Amino acid sequence: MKAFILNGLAEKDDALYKIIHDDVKDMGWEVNVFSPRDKSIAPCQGCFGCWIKTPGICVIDDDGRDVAKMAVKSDLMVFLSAVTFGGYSSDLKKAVDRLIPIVLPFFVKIGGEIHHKPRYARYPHLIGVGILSNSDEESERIFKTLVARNAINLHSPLSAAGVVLRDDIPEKIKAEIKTLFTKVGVKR
Amino acid sequence: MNTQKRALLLVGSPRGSKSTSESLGIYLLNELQEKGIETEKVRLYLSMKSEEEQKHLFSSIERSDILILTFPLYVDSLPSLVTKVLEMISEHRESIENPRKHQFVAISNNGFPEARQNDTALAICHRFAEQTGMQWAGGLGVGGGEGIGFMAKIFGGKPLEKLGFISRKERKSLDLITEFLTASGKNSQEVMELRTNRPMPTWMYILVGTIFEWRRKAKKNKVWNRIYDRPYQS
Repeated sequence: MKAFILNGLAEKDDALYKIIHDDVKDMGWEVNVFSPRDKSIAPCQGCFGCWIKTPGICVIDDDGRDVAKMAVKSDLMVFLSAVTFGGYSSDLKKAVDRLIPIVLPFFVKIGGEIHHKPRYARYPHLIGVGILSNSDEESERIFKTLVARNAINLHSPLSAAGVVLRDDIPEKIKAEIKTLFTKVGVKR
Repeated sequence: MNTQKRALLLVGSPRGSKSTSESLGIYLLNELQEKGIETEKVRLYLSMKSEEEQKHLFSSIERSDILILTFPLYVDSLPSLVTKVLEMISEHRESIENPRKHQFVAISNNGFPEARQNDTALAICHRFAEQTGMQWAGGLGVGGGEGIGFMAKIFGGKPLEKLGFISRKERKSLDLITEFLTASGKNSQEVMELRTNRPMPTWMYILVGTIFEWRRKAKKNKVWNRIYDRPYQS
């Protein structure tokens, strides 16, 4: 089983990242990591070239292409990010915006709303882990909603999101990760 | 001392003048100008290209009482570059004493017919305003933004007010925001949760999008027969 971690955390959160990364590995997952801050990745230009010029592949030839490629080859995608005004950090968002090639331009109705049709037959589950310095209910609510919305648009069969604090002890962080993995049907 | 109020439009679309985001923002900016507010526009994708442009952006922000952010919805939230700008503004405000209490307005438009799909992005903008000590002055979520862009192209890139029936709901909402920004004491609750959907049935929107947008463009690029490709299929 392959887990793809999109690590949108800054250097100051490296210790936290290591705890989460090692925990996922300890669960027996084959882990692939993409850290936008270490990559050459341009922002999505909103040109839709990945739909109508080079179907399924972003027209920008940089490391960003690997995001879509690694996502569709995974069973589970994990978004790691500092909770930024309730949303993702710009680093994580830079990678998430480059996932657009994995869907089609055409539309489908899901839950009474219009979304883009899936390009592939199967998609990874989605887990979002947000990092906060202090407890912030509203930011947490927005973050969890965002992950759930992404799961609809990216056709993830199951999704879960949670928030941990920078000062949390490793055991507490691991317990939260375990809870999230259980929610998407994967137990230790 | 110049006491005239200033408004700054921050355009968060890479498409610049051809974008629905800019059309919506310019309409609001023009309305404010008519009410005697001094206005300025900055395109964020250009501002982030050099340090000099970034300095210009921050000095424009410093001078302004009202900040209007207009952007296209990217994967349920703000484009990464726009998020980066918000992070930089937040860091900047933390580094200075008594930062200005700007009024902050956000306009989000998406390519789906439902305006409510902008809600998460607008909640992020609202939280940004709260966490950086600005005054949240309202958000507008526009559904079917691509529809406005499409009609604008048909009518030769005309401004929002010349699209008539097509843009009437957006103009009405932006007029409400103008009223709030220019009339002191008005309850901001009235402009907090504005949404506008396309004035056409969903099935028609899908048909128009599929045939006139995607099929036409893919055929023009000679990739219609490859449009369902799965390049990364294992």
